[in-house]
Amino acid sequence: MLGKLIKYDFLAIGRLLLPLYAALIAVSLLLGITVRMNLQNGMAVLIIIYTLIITAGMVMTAYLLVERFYHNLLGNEGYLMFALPVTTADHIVEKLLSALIWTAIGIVAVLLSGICLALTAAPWSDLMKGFSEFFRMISNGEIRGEDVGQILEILAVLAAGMVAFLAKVYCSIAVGHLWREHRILGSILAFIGFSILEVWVSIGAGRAGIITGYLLDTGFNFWLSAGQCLILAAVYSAGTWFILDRHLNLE
Amino acid sequence: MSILECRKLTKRYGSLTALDQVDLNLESGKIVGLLGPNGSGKTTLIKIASRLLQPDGGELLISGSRPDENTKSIVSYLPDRSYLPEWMKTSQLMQFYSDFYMDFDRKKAEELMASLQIPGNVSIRQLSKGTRDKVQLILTMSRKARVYLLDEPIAGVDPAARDYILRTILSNYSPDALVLISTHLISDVESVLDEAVFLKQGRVVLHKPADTIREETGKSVDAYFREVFAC
Repeated sequence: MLGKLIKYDFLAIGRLLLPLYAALIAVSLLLGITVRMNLQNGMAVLIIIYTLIITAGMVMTAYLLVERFYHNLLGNEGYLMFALPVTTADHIVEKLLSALIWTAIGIVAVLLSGICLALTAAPWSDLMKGFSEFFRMISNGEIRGEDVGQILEILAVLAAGMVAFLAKVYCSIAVGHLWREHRILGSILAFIGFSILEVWVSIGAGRAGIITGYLLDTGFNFWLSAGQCLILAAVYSAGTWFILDRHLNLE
Repeated sequence: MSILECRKLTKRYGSLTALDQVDLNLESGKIVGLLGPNGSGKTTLIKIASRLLQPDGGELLISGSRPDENTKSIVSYLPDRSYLPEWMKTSQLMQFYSDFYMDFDRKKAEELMASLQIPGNVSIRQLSKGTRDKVQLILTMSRKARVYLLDEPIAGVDPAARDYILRTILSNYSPDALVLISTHLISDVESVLDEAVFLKQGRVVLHKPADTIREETGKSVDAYFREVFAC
């Protein structure tokens, strides 16, 4: 059932974001051609459009991930979703997985547009030089397994951090839902309250020798930081589950 | 055996008691009218049965179990509002119901949509309110469920649409299922009811076969309802 929930969330978000990413690729190809042909005016306009599309993609992704939770589960669509034979936990996990998927798609789309830009803008001879240099660095051991590992560590921390942040947003929305009126105001106040609480707990943990991601004796540890983010996400998600499962009260 | 059973079911919203110690047993194979004025607790009872609300006291059982994801798979619920995602096309909605409900009869849904000349490539946003209501009803009634919970299915629609809705309910529900219709428009549904439950301020004040009510009172269910709920 989780896969089916992801499928329909993918359709709902994809109908808005996928055309945007298709436009991004198209503009990057056009931009590459104008660079190659040295068309100064076209280049300037396309750079502005390219930047605008990337910004719009980021803003829309953030907006849709919050909006989908609010309207799909706690708006009128909630009558459809909560009547489905799936658990409340499935709904929450699905929203967090969907967020990870769309963030990954956004990053891939930007990288792909960069590759398209490079392939169309640079002369083939330069590209071939670049590739041979890249493979030379690998064969000479200038790019090592540890470097790749570090990139993976950074990505893991970023992904865990994003999941923790969204879990906090979802929990805040769920707390706001407990209010009879002014539910959005309730959600915003809950978010501020949770943020203050996090700082307070971090200070307490600091006194105990552990600060988010840091152990005083070993310095910053990516995996520890990712683990802490996931624990935070689990705590917020448990709160969201408790409210949606036991105190759901759709308008 | 009761397919839907309430034991001392109680629900409060702050100081307001929406359901007050409700005891009720409803059996399969019946069309039951859950009748009462606005605010009498009809929607609250249906929402608890659909697990959209949790009771504050007592319990409600569907086929012997408290509402959960298993009971949801045998309950077909029609809310009292537009609840379908507006961006979805009717063909996508039928696929959605097929994906989540094993008992959804897609062929029947397609036939009913075709009889209303609703094309599959039209999004819900493009449909009129009346047509949206009909699409919702078609999706709900195209399931071979054991319990149908229909919350105000004929409120806010024109008389021709009411006839269509009642015909659709009558010709599509599984004969061994319970159909619970909540409404305050008694005269429109009276002809299809096997039993009537009167809810007044969160309490069941009457639960009898419709024929018995007519025999005992010498009045139609609608006329008797007006007498019981006279202001």
